[in-house]
Amino acid sequence: MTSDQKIVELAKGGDEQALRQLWTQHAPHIDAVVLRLCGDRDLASDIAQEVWIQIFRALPSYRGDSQFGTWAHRIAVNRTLNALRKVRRIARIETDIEDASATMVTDTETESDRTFLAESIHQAMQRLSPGARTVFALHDIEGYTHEEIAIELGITPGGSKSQLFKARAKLRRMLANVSNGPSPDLHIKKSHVTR
Amino acid sequence: MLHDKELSESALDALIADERARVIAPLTEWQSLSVQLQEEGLMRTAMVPALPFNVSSPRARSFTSTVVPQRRMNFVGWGVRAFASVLLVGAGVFAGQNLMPKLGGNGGNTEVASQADLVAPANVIQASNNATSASYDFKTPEQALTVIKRAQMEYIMAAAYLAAHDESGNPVTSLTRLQERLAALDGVVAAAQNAVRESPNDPLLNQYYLSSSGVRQATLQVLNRKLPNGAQLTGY
Repeated sequence: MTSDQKIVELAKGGDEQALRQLWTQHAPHIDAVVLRLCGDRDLASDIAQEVWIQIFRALPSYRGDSQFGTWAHRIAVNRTLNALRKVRRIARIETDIEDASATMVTDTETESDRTFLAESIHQAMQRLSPGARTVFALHDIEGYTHEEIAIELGITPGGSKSQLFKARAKLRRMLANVSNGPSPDLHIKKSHVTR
Repeated sequence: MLHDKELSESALDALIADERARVIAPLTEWQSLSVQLQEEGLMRTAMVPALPFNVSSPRARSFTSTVVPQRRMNFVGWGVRAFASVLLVGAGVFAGQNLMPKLGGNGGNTEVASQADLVAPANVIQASNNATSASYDFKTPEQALTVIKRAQMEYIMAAAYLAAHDESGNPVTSLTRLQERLAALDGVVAAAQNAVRESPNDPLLNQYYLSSSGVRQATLQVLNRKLPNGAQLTGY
């Protein structure tokens, strides 16, 4: 049994140190996934808490078929998307009740969106519509296929491809002033993300 | 600096690759997470905090129970391990750099020595008891790793004992000291993280990253308890 597997087994038994080690080791990446999908830091903080609770609730079902990080990543994506659906559903209901003439958030691009220039891809992603950001994050960053995205979001693979195309076009426009080098606010390291 | 109307596809892909590798400081805090985990029965609080290396030999348990009063461990264990780990990370990385080629070079065992190896051979114990001697008669890399683990454990226990008997109790001094530790630990964790990314399969570096991250969080916890109500620190 590897040391990682030992930690997971201890964590399944409720060992505080083991649970904490899992969180310490994987939170930097898992929370980054949540933030990418949410786009808003405060919302991401709330959802990340629930994500971790769900990961630890589901620990007994982890059989070691994949790396723990990969398994936890799946839960994080699924849980975050569920939470975002709830948030948007509540937001739409509140908007309908408050003001019948209120403008709902749509994928329609505004004039400010067309002229906005971002300094980093993270900043640019926040300007994408929720749907486009989700598809882009899942496909290009997290490595999901369009078929997998379609299942997660309840859309068609064609719809996913269309959203991705629009997202990339918009990002390329917003990032027109970014050099080919890495942005200074990114932690540029070798990727060790696995799925 | 590009001034075209839009970024090229390849440049966007490069930014995406950077973003994929990006990690952030956790959005969650262990303190609030642990409260919820306890409420749901998913976590049991240990009476004595576990060591970074999971030592369970009778010798280790005996050492722990006689040197440090158990009732004090919950507070002093965390704070003092921060200080101990700052010093031990440097020694551990140096030792790992010298050991890893031997462990991996001949298809040798790259796993960290098992708990059965924790009782060092007599000649190693004799050598390690000499505080000034620099020449240890190690026969295998596993023996050397055993000594490292044992030294770390003993250092932490001894530091915990000293902290438990520290009567200074000056709140300003201890707050300053904790802040200094946190500043040092921020650097240690960043260095350990970089080392692990360069050598993700190195068990020693992974152990030190985990332990330094853990004690950093512990130091934050202790520090936040000393801050005024409502104040919260997430890093130095």
